[in-house]
Amino acid sequence: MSETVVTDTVTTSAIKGRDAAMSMAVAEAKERQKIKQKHRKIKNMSLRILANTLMALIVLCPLLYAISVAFMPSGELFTMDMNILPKHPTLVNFAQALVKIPLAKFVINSFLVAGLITIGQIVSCSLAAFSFSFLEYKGKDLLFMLVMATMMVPGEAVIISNYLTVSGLGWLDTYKGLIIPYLTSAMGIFLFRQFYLSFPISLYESAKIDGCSNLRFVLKILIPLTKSAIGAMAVYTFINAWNMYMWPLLVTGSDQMRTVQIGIGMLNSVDAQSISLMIAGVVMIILPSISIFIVGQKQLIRGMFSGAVKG
Amino acid sequence: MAEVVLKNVYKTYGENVNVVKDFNLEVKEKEFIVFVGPSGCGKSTTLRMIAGLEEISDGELYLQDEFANFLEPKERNLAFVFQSYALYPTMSVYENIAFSLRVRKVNKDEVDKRVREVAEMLGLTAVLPNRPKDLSGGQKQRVAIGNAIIRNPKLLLMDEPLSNLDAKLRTQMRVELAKIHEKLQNTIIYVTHDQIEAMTLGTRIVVMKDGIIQQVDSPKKLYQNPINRFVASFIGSPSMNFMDGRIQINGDHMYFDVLTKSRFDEKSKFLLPNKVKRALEDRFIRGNEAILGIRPEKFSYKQKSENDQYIDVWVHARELLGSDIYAYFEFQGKQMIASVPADTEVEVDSHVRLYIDLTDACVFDKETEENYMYIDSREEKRA
Ligand SMILES: Nc1ncnc2c1ncn2[C@@H]1O[C@H](COP(=O)(O)OP(=O)(O)O)[C@@H](O)[C@H]1O
Ligand SMILES: [Mg+2]
Repeated sequence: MSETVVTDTVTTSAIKGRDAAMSMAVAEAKERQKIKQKHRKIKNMSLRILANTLMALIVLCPLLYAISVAFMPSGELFTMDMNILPKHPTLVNFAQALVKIPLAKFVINSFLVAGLITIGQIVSCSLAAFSFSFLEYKGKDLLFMLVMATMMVPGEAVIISNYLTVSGLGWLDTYKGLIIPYLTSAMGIFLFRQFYLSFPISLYESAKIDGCSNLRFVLKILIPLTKSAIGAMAVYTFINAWNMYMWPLLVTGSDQMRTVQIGIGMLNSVDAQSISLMIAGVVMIILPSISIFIVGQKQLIRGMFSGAVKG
Repeated sequence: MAEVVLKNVYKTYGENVNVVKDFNLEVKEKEFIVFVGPSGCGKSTTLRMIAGLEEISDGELYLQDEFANFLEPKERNLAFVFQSYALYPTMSVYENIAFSLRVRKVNKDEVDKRVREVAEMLGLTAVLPNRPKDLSGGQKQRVAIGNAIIRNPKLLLMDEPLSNLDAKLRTQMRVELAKIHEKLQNTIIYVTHDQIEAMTLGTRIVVMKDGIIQQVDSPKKLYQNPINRFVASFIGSPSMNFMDGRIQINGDHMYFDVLTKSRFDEKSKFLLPNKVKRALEDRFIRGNEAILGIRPEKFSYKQKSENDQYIDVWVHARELLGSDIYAYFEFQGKQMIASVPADTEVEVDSHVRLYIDLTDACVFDKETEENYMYIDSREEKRA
C-alpha cells in the first residue's frame, strides 16, 4: 500500500472497526433473542405436558383405581380406611376369576362375535355405500333416507321386537342370534358413502369404459382408496361389538354362548362379596379393547377426519 | 363404413328440458371430429351418450353400423379421456395404463409390451413406476391418454382433455394429439369450448348452440362460409365485427347503408362488391335491414384496392401480438377490432381512416341472423 493513502486507510479501518463492533453487538442481540425464544418454547412445552398429564390422570382415575382394586385382597376393600393402593398386593382375584367362570370360553365367544360383526359390517356397508354413491336407480334417494332414518330409532326401542324375531327363528342362545342382527349399520353406510362421494364420478365411469365390473371396481379401486376409512370403521365396530351388553344378555342363556361382558356379571351373582374378583375380570377383558385401540388409533383418527378434510 | 351415426338424437332432463335437440351426424372412419360451442350447449352430454354414460332420451345411435342405444359402455369398444383425467390414485402409472388390458385378462407379456410402447410414444417411460399424484398436469393428461389408447380403440372420445393445462402446455399437447391421431389412424370425437383447439385439430367441426347443431364443416369452410351470425362470431379469433345497416339498391349498384354514424364517421355508405351483390339478389331480404360481418383482418390502414370502402374511427387501444397488432375502436357503440400487420404504425387515441375489403364480407338477416352469403356445399355438389 502506498504512503499517500495511509491516512485514508486509517480512517477506513476505524470505520471498519466500528462496523465490526456494531455487527458483533447485533449478533449478540440475535443470539440472546434465540435463547429467549428457545426458553419460552421449552416453558410452553413443559406446561402443556404437565396440564395434559394432570388431565389424563383425572380421566384415568377410575381405571387406575380399578386396576388397584383388582390386586387387593377383598378384606382390604371392605374396611372404613381409605385404601387407594393395595397394602398386600395379590393375584388371588385373577386366579379366582379364571377358576370360577370359563373366562377363556367367554373371550373366545366375544372375539368370534365381535370379529364376525366387524367383517360383516365392513362388507355390507361398503357395498351399500357403493350403490348409494355410484349407481343410478329409481328410489335411490328415498332408500338412503330410510336407511338414515333407522339411525334415529334408539336400539332399546326395538330390542324386544328383535328378541321376538330371533326367538321365532329359533336362534336364541346361538352365534347366529348374537351376530346376524348386527351385520350392517346405518352409521357405517353413511361413513363409507361420505368417503366415496369425495371421489369424482368420472373415476367410476372411466373404470366402466375400461370394462371393469362393479365388484372389481369396489375391490380393486375403492377398497385400496378407502383403507383408512375401513381401518377406522373396523376399530370402531369391533370395540362397540366387544362392549355389547344388553343384546347378548337377552339372547344367551348358557355358558357356551356367553360373551365376556355377561360372563363378568356372573362373577358378581355367584358370590355377593366379590367386587374385587369382578374387577379383576374386568381388568383382564379390557386388555383386548385397549390393545385394539392402541394398534388402530392412527387409522381411527385418520379415517374419522380424512373424510372431512379433503386433500 | 360409418363409425358413428346419430339420428334425431335428443337428451331430455325431467319433463321437457331438452339439452340436446334433434342431433344428426355421421362420422366416418379416421375422422377427427370436434364438437365446439359455448359452455353448457350440450357437447359433453352428446359425447357421453355416444359413450353410453348417459341414456339417449330419443333417437338412434349406431356404432360401426350396429344399433347401439342400449349397449353397455364396455361393449361399445371405445375409449374416453376425461377432463379431470380420472386416474386411479392408488395405482402406478404403469398399472393405470395397463388397467383396461388387465380387466380383459390379456397375458402379462403382451400387456408389458403394449404399455412400454404407449409409454414410449407419450414420453412416460421414466415415470412408469410413479403414482399419479407425483406427476405434473401434462403428464397426468398423457397417462389418461395412454390408458385410453392402449386398447387401440377404433373410436376415441375426449371431453375437454386439455382445459386443465396451462396455455403453453396446451399448445404442445395439441400438436401431440394431432400426431397421435395420425399414427393410430382411429376415429376421434373431441369436445372443446375453445375454437382455436377446434380449428387446429378437427378435420370436421360441429358447432353447437343450445343443444342444436349449427353447422358441420371443415375448419376452413367454417371460417369462410359460416351459416349464421353465431358461427361467424364463434369461429375465428379475434371474432368477426358486426355492423347494423340497410341494404339499398341504386340503379346497378348495391349499397350497405350504415345505420348510426360514429362521431368521426363522414361516409356511411359502402358500395357492395359484385360477389355480395349477386348473392343478395338471389335472396329475399326482409325489410332490407341487415347486418354486415367483417373479419378483423379485412381492415387495413392502407388502401389496397380502389374497391376498398372506409370508415373513420377513433382507436382507443392496441395490442401487439408478434406478427399482428389489434387496434380497438368503437363503432355503433360496440367495440370492434382491426387486425393489421405488426409493421403498421398504430397510434392509441388517434383518429384513423380504416379501409375495408368487402370481397369476403358476410351479410346476415337482421332477424334470423342467417348468412345470405352461405353456400350450402350439398347444393353445390348437386348443381
Ligand atoms: N343431470 C342433469 N339434469 C339437468 N340438467 C343437466 C344435467 N346434466 C347436464 N344438464 C344441463 O345440460 C346442459 C348441457 O350440459 P353439458 O353437455 O355438460 O354442456 P357442455 O357443452 O358445456 O359440455 C347444461 O345446461 C346443463 O345444465
Ligand atoms: Mg362439458
